[in-house]
Amino acid sequence: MQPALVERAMRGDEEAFASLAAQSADGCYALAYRILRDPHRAQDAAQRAMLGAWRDLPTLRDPARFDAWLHRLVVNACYVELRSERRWVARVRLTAADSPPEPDIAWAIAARDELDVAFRRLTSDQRAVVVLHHYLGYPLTDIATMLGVSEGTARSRLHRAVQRLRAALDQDEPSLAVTEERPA
Amino acid sequence: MNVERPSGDFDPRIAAWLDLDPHRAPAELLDGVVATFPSIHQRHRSMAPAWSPRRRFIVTGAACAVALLVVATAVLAVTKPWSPTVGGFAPPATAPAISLVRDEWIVDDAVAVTITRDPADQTAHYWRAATYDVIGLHGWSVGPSTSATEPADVSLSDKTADDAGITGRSQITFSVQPGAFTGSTVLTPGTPITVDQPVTLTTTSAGGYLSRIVREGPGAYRVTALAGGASNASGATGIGALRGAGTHYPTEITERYLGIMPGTIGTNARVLEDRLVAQAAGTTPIDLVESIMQILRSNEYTYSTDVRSLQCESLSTVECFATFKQGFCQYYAPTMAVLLRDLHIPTRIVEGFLPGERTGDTEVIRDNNAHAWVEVYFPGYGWIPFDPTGANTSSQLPAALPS
Repeated sequence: MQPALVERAMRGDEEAFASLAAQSADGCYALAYRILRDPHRAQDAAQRAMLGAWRDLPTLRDPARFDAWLHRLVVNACYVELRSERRWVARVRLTAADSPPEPDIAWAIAARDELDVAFRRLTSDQRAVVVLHHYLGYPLTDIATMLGVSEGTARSRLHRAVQRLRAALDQDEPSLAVTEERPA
Repeated sequence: MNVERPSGDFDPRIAAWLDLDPHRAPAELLDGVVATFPSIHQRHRSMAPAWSPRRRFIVTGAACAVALLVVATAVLAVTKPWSPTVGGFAPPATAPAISLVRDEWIVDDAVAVTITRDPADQTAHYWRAATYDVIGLHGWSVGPSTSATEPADVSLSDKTADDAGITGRSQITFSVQPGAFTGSTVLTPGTPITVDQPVTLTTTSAGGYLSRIVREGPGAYRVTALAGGASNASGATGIGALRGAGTHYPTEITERYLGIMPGTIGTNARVLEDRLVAQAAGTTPIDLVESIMQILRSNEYTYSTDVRSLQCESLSTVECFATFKQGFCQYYAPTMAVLLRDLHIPTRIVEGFLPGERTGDTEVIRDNNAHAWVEVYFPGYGWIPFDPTGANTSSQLPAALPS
């Protein structure tokens, strides 16, 4: 993210924030989707995070850290979503979003379902750590800072979560064994 | 994502699984964010003093004005934006044609347009400027649409799906002289037939329902339209007739006019919806429409042009209104539209102007006549206007259908 753009948005430049929002929307949604496993709630969480970003931008200390700061807001918004029991109404999706990528044939549906089930059984903290680490590639030190916990806590959360997910993977080892050589 | 993926205890299988999920956000996500800027801005006015209007005051009268009508109009069609005395800010450059619900209603009483029409026709018309199919958490916008340029004086009615062969409507011809409303959007009640200037006709891309008509030239213009509908004397679109309209909606209607953005309906909006169903005289769509109209226009809901004190930061406009029961047209209209959509009744938001002051053949419409209301789709009858906003607007059509 361009720090100059962030700085303009921090000063209340609405167009600058609109540009930031446009650049960040996909990333926010992708992160929220992976934690929440639900497109509608992911959209809501991402939206809440982005609006929170606009509101709280003046409090951002380092414009260069905008991405990590925004990701933290997304994680917090996901926590709110996971705590709530709201009933979403979304019978009709108004705008055709791009479809999720076609699943690779090497990934057996059963295996993915097992992973999905295992992931949904994780706590919200564990989900966040897994996604931040395995999807976004944040080091544990950064994750600890983002989540306001010690590095040891972040590490243990990740360890337990990965253990559970690996257990699900191992149940379907035969079908997942080809993942390293899956066809293009 | 620009973050380096670390080595160490990184499991590529989990990463690959996570990578299967979507990477791109739905378009309405960004629309929803952009559409919320002003309400955020209201709480952070000091961040952008340049948006403060030069001259403004709060309207405490009956009219609920829609400043952003013109902002939205300007986005699509004009080079000169709506008078900054109305609204007081411009949308982000990246915004689509959107209108945004605000926390405070501030307008002036400048003459928006002057209409010349047959003095013998005493029908009070709502002057429609634009319709919106997408209702967001804090505003509304136009979804995918199609625009085509049409020459002057050609029939536009057969180029939209809005004219459903409605009986009881009459043809009217009128001229519009722009005043403070410098936008190029054509104002018209009912279904427009012709405009005496080349225009760009924008319709929803799926069904071809009218979104707006934009003139290519400046100055005065003349329109012929089919108007009447809710106010017609024959009762052809009265409650009795509409009870028989049924619910066999065209697919292009259900695809576009039933959408509800996640998070719009909260606990209190759900209570209101349950109540409107319980209090309805019947189960047909018009019964439900009448029921929500009756509730929203009752004294239970207070018309207020300044709702900045309400704690609605985390609520949708609909949930905010259902919770605090205070607001102006931009709160009434989406509440009605969304709750009906949730009951599988197609609706759209309309922006335009309330009827103005009549003197002879002249109707003067002021900025503070600007308004937002709801149109409900009835099979065989098309889009019928309803105005759920209470507060001294009871004498103005189309408050309710003739029974």
